[in-house]
Amino acid sequence: MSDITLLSHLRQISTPPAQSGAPAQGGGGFAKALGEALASVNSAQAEADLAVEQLQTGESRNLHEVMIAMEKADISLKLAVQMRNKVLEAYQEIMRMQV
Amino acid sequence: MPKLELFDQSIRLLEKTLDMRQRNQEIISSNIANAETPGYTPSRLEFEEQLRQALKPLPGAPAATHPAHFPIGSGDLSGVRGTVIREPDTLGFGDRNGVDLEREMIAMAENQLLYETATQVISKKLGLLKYVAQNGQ
Amino acid sequence: MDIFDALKISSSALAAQQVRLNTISSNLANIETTRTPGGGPYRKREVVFRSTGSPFAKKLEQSLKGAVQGVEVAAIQINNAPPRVIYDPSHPDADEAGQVLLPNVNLLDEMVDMTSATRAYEANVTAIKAAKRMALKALEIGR
Repeated sequence: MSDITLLSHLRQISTPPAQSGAPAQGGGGFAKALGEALASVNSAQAEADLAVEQLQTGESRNLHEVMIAMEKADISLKLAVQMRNKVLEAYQEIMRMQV
Repeated sequence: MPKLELFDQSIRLLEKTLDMRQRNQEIISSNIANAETPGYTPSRLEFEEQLRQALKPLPGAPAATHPAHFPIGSGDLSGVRGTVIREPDTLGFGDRNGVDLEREMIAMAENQLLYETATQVISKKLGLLKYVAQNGQ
Repeated sequence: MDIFDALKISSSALAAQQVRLNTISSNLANIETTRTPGGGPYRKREVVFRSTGSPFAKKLEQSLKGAVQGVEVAAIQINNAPPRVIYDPSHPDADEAGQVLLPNVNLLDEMVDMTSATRAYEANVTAIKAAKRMALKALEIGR
């Protein structure tokens, strides 16, 4: 029984959240979390880029803002990559399972 | 299929900034070296405003519709060269040397700090790209 | 254009200021010298600075030409202001009227000049440190 539940989990992750209707225990949660993580990576990068631009063109002289924004972008990107790696690992492990 | 751009405008901006600030350092060094040379006219390198103009989006270009989208600029940074501006002495007496040593020292400190910030930021960005390319190891 | 030009410019200034300091030392050492090989009292020496046309950077970009220059000592000239005269008949170099000609070196002027030269020297040392630091930071990119 548990195998079927895991497979349906995977199907949920691979389909867009709006279409997933499978009633798994908190199944939509992970996909949503990954989507949010990616969105925040994107916005962190954009913010950091903007801060750098403003510093070097003379609009702002807040060095600390730039450094903190860079670190935030760094951390959120690394976190997203690790999440992706973990998902891949879990997928590969499941695929290895003898049914 | 849009072209895959590995090194985006932000990195190009940083490269350009490093170029400009190195030239600026030469000019400021020249001013400081000639702080007591009779008749010497100090120079300044103007480039920050030019950078700002180059980064502005062209009129009619697509605007970012969502705050999470990267801003789209006209992006022609390669045209920014910086202008050397001479500032002749205005006091009108003495040896007509126009160098203000304190101002040059402050300009040098600021320039150096911004240069080092740019090297750190570009280092960090390239490091992130390496991290992703190496699959998170 | 390269960062080494900045170093060369600043070091040319160090050399020039060093010559200036030596001249000031010479003036101070001879502040009471009444006899010189050429006859007469010691006369104050002064340095004249001149900016160089960057002989070390033949490949200067057009826009930077003239803006980036080193400095050199054009000449060490002798100040021809009249010597100080004091009345001291007992001095070995006193003339018939009992007057002695002393060097036209003013202690206060020399001290002020020395302070100014030291300040300029230090400013150029700071410029060298800044240029060196920038170059070292650039080497750290990607490390």
